[in-house]
Order: sequence, then structure tokens, then C-alpha cells
Amino acid sequence: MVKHRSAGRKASSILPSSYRDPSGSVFAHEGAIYRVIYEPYRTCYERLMGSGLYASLTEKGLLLNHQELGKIAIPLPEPLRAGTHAGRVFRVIRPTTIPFISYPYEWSFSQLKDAALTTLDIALESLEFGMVLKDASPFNTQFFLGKPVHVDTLSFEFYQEGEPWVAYRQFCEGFLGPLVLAATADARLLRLSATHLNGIPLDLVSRLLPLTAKLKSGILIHILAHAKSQKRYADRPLPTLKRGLRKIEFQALLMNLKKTVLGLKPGTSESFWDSYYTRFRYSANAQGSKERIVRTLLEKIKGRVVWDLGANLGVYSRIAAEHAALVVAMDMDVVSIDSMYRTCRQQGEKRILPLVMDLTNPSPSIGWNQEERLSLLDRGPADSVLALALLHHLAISSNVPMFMIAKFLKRICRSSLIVEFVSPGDPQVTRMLERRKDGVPDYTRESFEQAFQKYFTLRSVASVRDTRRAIYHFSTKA
Amino acid sequence: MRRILFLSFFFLFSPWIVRDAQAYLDPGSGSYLLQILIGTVLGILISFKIYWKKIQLFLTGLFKKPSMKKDGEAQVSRKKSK
Repeated sequence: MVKHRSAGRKASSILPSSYRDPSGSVFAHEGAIYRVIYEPYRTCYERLMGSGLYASLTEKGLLLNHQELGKIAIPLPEPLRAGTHAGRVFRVIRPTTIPFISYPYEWSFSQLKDAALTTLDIALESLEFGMVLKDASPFNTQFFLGKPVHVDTLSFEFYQEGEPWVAYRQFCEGFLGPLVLAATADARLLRLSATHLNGIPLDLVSRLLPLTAKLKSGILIHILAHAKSQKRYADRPLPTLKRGLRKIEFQALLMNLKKTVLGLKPGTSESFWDSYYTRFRYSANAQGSKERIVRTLLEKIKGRVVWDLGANLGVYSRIAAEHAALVVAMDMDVVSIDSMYRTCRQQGEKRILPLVMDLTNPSPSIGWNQEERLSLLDRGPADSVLALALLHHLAISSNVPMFMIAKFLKRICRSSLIVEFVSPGDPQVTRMLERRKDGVPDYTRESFEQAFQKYFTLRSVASVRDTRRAIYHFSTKA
Repeated sequence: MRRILFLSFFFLFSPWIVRDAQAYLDPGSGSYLLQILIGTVLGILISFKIYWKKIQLFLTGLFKKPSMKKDGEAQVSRKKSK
């Protein structure tokens, strides 16, 4: 079993990401994740399980499966035994382990769109079973086996005729706002979700939208009118209304949101890598040679969790996925990651998780007490790391000294590292070095080998045919 | 239908003039009320669509020539529906 990457940090401790939920808590124990359900949520949980909603949602792959455990099956963390929650525990469940937790600000447009559609489908399905999805935060969605799945089992409550959707605001700010910005303004604005963990305020979304986007009906209603309505009724008590939202109207609202989301297409931003590949394409001979070397190494290494750094369109992630349980494919280019995700979905690829990540500024620990959302490093280390055609970008373009690159890779790599070194003299590196008037004396094969052998043991080196590139296989020093 | 929905909100909210909100927002009330408004408009449109389909069906049934083979059945069902 692949362990939860954040689970191994503290044994039997409540995860900081679950502090908000009054219905239960999530804790980690010996590499697995458990969810405690408190007494007040008992009736809702029993309805979820008894009504057929849970079976329907899990069958459709919309909700994460779980297994029910007895109270004494595992030791509860201290606050649940002796703290304010003592005596309130109704049940402990063990959800299927998600091997790598990712966050909305690391997803591409199509990933966030699929997560939004999953959330709306759950909300629509819940109504059929007399329940309502009370929590529509994108953080409740994770990617598992290549698809988005809702992970919060305690997000359901009884539906009462006339009640509007309690999570409407949350959905619009967490999903619709960033999606609309990415589709109509710029896909890089998805990163705003990192600075606005509770969703992007709709007045901000409204200000950033281009005029043409403001004329689309779904955006006009759910973003612009919504922002206006929020402003108009701010600080005013809710007036007593003669009528609420009938069930058919609730369904119509959800369907309209779904239609709006489905109508959003990824923006036409140009990918840096598109033109890069056109300029620096290697010969078929060289490409074949590199793929053979990497495949042979990956077959030998057999890492369960592989991180492919600078994955671009995921050519080598796919090779890694032939032998790994999970490949986390990271690249800073939002267009490449979106393209990779869509290809993976079309091909039914379950073992690759594409993520937008700038390695010179990887996701930090953020949120309450700076531990609600984990940093990239906290979610590692990976068993194996692939760093192909990456070093020269970090060393020359980003000016990171070679020993610091080696040190960083040591932190995220548990056992095997496959790294490509492109020697000076390669046309691409030559062009990059020409732009650096001050020169990069550190960028030599000797200095690369010296820096890496401080942290790693060299296993093998293979040259890529017809190029000045070499693939190094290192193992991490203890 | 989209045009009717669009125009309803165009006049109801004139939202293109949204400015940044300096004050603390309590989005609960605004979101709550807007949903009822959207739901009501969408509900009316859905009802209109359902009734329009019924009218269409009724009209097509009224002017449709009954087929030769099932002539008798068609006559009976039309009488029943009246």
C-alpha cells in the first residue's frame, strides 16, 4: 500500500487541515488516515449510509470509499481521548488512502474544472436522496487514480424544502471565480487560490474580468450579480422571506452552474514549451536513445512514488508510470500541465498526477498556523526523482548554485535520482549561456559531479546518442 | 431562454458597475437572496419550457393525420383526451 505522504509525520495526531469541521476530525496513524465522526453528526451519517446516497456516489466514483471501524480498533489521538471531544466520538472510519495530497492552486484549468463538475454532480445526486452538499470547498476534492473525487465524507446534511444552497457562495468563490478568470483572462490567475484559501472574493474576480467575459449570462449571474448582491446586503440582517428556494429551483440553479462551468474552455495562453520544443527538438535517434536509457533505469529502480520534475508534456512520466504506483509530474507551465492532464484523462491513465509547480518557489506551508496546507517538501520525499532537462534551467536561467540544486534534490529523494546533465557546447545551453554576460563558472560537468557526489552515490552514467547530454543514476546517501 | 435570463439580470442588477468592496463583507445574505432570485427566474423558465412542450405536443397531435393502420386507436385516444 502506498502510504499517505503527510501521514508519516506525527503518529496518531489530528491533521491541521481538519480543524474547521465540527462534525469530525481527521487523524493519521501509522501511515494511514482515519476520520472520527462526533455524536452530533450521527443522524446525518446514518442517512448518508442508509439512504443509498453513499453507495450511489461511490459507485459513480464521485465520493471516496471508506471502511467503518470500531471505536477501539486504533488508538485515538490525545485530544479525542481526554480533550473537549472525549466521549463525543460516534464512529471511526478509514477512508481509502490518497497517496499524494494536492491543492487547487497546484491544479491546471481542466483539473479544477473537473473537480467543479464532480462537486456539482454530488450536489445534484444528494438532492435525490433528501440530502444537501453543505461544503463545496475545492480543498475537499483530491485526485485519485487520475480522477477528481470528493474526500470529505461529512459534507452532507438533511435537505429541507425551501432552504437555498448553503455552499453556493463557497462554490462560486472556490471554483467558478478562478475558472472564469483562467478561461477568460489568464490561466496563471489560478494561483490566486493560494493567497485566498477560502475562495477568491467575487468583487476581485469581477474587477479582473475582461469586458467580453462580463457579457456571458452564467458569469453575469453567478459572479457579477453575486458580487453586487454580496455588497448590497453586507452588514444587513437576512430579511424574512415569504418563499424559499423550491427543490426544482435548487436543481435548476445547480444545472445552470454546471452549464456555466461546462461552457468554460481553457484560455489560449501560449505555452513557453511549445516554442521551446520547436526550437530545440532533438533528433529521433537522440529521443529514442534517451527514452531507452530512462526506461532501463526506471525498470531497475522500481520506485513506488516517483516525482518527475520539469515534466513538460509528460513523455517520461508515462514511462515512469509503467513501473510506479504514482508519478507526480510537476512543471511550472500551466499550459503543458493542462495538456498533460487532458491526455491522461483521455487515455485513462490512472498513475500520473500532473501539477503546476515552480521549483524555484515550490508550494509553501500555508493556512492556519502555517500548517493547514502542506508544503511540497512536507509531502515528500519521493522514492525516486526524475530530473531530466532541468538542471541547466535552474543553474543558468534561475542562477541556483549547483550544490544547492543537489541539496534540494537530496531532501525530496528517498533512494534513486535520475538526472540529466547537458554539457556546455549543446546548442541550447550555449544560447542560454550567451545571455548570461557574467558567465556561469559553476556550470561544468566536473562541478556538477562534485556537487552531486556530496549527497548521492553515483551508480551509472549513460550518454544520449548524437547529443552532449548524459543521464546519471545516483542513489541517496544515508 | 438564455436571452431572457440575461436580460432579467441586466436590468435587475446592472452589475458591470461593481467596484471593490472596501468594507468587510458578509456574503451570506447576498448569496442567499441571489439564489432565490436566480432559482425563481430559472423555475419560471423551466415551467414555461415544460408547458410550451405540452402545447407543442397538443398542437402537433391536433393537426397530425392519424395513420391508416391505427386509425381506430388514434380516434379513440383523441376522444379520451378530450
